[in-house]
Amino acid sequence: MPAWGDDPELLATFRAEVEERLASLQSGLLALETHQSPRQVITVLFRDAHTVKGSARMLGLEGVLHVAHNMEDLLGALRDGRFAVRKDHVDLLLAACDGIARALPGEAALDDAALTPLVEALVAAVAGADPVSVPTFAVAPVPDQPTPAEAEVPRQSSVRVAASKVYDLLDAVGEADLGARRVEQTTGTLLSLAAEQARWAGVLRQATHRHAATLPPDVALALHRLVGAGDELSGTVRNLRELVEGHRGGMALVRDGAMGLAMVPVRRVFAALPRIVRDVAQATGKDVVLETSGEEVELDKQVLDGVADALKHLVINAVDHGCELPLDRVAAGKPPQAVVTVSARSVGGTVVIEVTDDGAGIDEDAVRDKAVRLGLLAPDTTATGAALLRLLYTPSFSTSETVTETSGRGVGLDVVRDAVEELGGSVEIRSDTGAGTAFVLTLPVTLGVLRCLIARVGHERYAVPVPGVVESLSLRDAELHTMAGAPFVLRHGVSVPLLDLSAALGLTRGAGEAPRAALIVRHASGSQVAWAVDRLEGESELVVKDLGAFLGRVPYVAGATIDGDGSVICLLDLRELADRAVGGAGFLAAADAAEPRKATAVPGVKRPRVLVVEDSIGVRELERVILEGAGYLVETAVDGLDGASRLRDEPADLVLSDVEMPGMDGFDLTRTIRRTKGWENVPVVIMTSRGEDHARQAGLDAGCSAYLLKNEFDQEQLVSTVRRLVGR
Amino acid sequence: MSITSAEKATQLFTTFVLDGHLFGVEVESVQEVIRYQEMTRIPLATDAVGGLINLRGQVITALDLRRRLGMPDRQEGRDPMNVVVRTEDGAVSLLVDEIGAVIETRTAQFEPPPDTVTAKAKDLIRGAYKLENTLLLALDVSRAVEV
Repeated sequence: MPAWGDDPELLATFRAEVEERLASLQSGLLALETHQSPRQVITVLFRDAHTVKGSARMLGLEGVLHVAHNMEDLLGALRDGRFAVRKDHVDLLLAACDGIARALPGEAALDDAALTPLVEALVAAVAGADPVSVPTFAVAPVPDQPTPAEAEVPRQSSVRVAASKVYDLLDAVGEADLGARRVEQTTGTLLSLAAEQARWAGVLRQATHRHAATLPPDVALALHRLVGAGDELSGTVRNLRELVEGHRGGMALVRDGAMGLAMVPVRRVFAALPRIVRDVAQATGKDVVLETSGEEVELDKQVLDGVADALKHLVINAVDHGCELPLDRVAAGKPPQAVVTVSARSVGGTVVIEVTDDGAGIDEDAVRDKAVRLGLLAPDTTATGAALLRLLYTPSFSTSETVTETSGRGVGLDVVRDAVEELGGSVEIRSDTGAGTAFVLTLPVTLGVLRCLIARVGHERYAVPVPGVVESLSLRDAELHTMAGAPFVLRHGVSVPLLDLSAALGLTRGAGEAPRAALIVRHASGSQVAWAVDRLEGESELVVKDLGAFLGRVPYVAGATIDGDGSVICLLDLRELADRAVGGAGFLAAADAAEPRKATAVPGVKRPRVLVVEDSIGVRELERVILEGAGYLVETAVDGLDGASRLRDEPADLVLSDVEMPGMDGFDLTRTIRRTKGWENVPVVIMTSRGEDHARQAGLDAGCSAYLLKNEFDQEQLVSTVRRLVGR
Repeated sequence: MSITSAEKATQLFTTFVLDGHLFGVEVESVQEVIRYQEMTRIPLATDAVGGLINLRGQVITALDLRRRLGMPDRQEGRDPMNVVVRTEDGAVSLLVDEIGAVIETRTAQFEPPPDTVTAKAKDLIRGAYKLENTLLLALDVSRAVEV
């Protein structure tokens, strides 16, 4: 029974999705034989097959579901290199695409039995048959034609238009809006020119009035006409200004209306979720109820389409991995029925969608074991929390031990993150052992218009997207302090390194000018940095322009926009820039630290290597600059886990580590180093703000060689300690 | 009237001057030629990128061809002209000293790049057409815009 027979619109949506994926599969398969790195292609094909499978489940197409599932198996075997890609594999997979295309609902659709030979051939291929027999199917009907399913959609009081038309319209409206702003500015200029002209014509008339009798008649006439025309000009320009101002409101209506056309309620995607939950729960023996809220929240269709698959993956995961079996729930003192909640809400210029379950939470031990087995972590790892959960985004990572038809093959979280980040959004995982897991997606409302802060730096103006800014502050009111000459700003009890945007962008600041404001952003490792700017010039909604391929090479310039006066403004990605602020060059007024005293390298002598492990980018870069200045080769790592893996890549002569870091902390890292063969004797210097006796004792117990305090931080002391321990 | 094959093998070039050399790009790849436009600098971009210009509401990248070709910078106060060309990645503006005439060349006039141009420039030109009293250097647009 077709599951969506009663909802032709959803049926058409899913059908369109399957066709799109089939097209992608076919072109990928055709490229596969000749591609340089087939693995990459297969990874994409695998996801496509996975999506087809998901949609087939939606459509209630059992036969297609089986074919897609077995395609996934074969692609998985090829991806993992179990056998080399052969032409008959490609032929078989192409035949499977044709079979699926022919089995979609419509006239003369194949029934499930007709697909059996395909399933059998795929199973044989996975088992290693060489060569495999390839069943054949007639080529699918041309997908461009309206399908019978679409044709059946009853025409209600709505107009269906191609999405591309809406986006073309939005582009045109954006341009028209910019044009209107320029007209407005020009009108203002014209108005003052007309007033000027009228004034001088008046002066001329006054001056000639006394000599009216002696003026040649043609001059008198010209003067008369000039004054008359001047008056008329002023009047006309005033009318023009009124027209332009009246038009402004109209333009705003057009703009809002056009944007509204592209907005769709999240209900369009949420509507498919109850069925997913029911089917997955049934297949896995669970009792799960779905609760949704905020279905009416609207998003740009491009954003919603871009995130729809990710959302489905998350819901499937929530039921399959998140929720426990009824008996286990009762044993844990919970009601037998699990609850999966999907909610949407508007927050500023973003929409936040949360998928939560009240299951067991993510089993950190299972994740850790799996990570060790996959070689992602060292066998003696003590990773926990966010650092550990990050591994869930690794392709082919799944904690589910058995492969099921619903999920559990590692397709999922990497796809989710890629899809969300592609849209400029972010994903966060929260897990509470015993109480459940939450996935929080933060998405932009629309892709075309971005709310931005305008910051002036020197003679340049830059736009910074609001969703990426934690807060903006005036440097006059902020509490500033310095550590070893580098400035920090104190926010809510946290020291945030203050970086100079002007220096980071290679601009020169005029004499006597000083930055007056700062923008705090959170960068990749989760810590914050403050970017000092000359001043902030307010917020505005900007139409972001595509820059083609050129700017792709300057990753911190995310795009550009055109201001009301026609000038181009670059959009900065301050998070990316923070990750790239290297060598301390970006530090504000950190003259001492930023001018590394270049040690003269002695030819033939290898420079000692120091590994700096520190989660704060500011402190990390500061330590790097100081140690490089003292002649050491410096490697950096963002936490203990990262540090241990750097050590595995290349041994260090000394490790300088912070204590409190996400994941593996500095003491754990020290213990790991002391326990690991070959690393036992590497000196470890702990640099921390924890000065209490017990903390110091804990450090020494862990096996550190020196314990330095950040608040007594002294460049000379650091360098001399490192020299003493390294021996040069 | 009959056309011989030699006469058919012609190509029209939009020409421009850079540091005293005459360069050309095939007219088919030229979208338009416009006077100097205010540019917005792209922070930290390679110095061959002159900046971004607003071409009737489209933001396009302007390449400083002198720098791209390893030539000395234009004199202070002399504004460059924009030759907007179509590329696979969309429109790109080439900043040049002056615009020349559209010139018709024949295959027979073609020869390899001369030794008088810089090594950097040699990489970016396809070859030269020997005209009556000068050489026309044919710019390889797709390589020039690969910065």
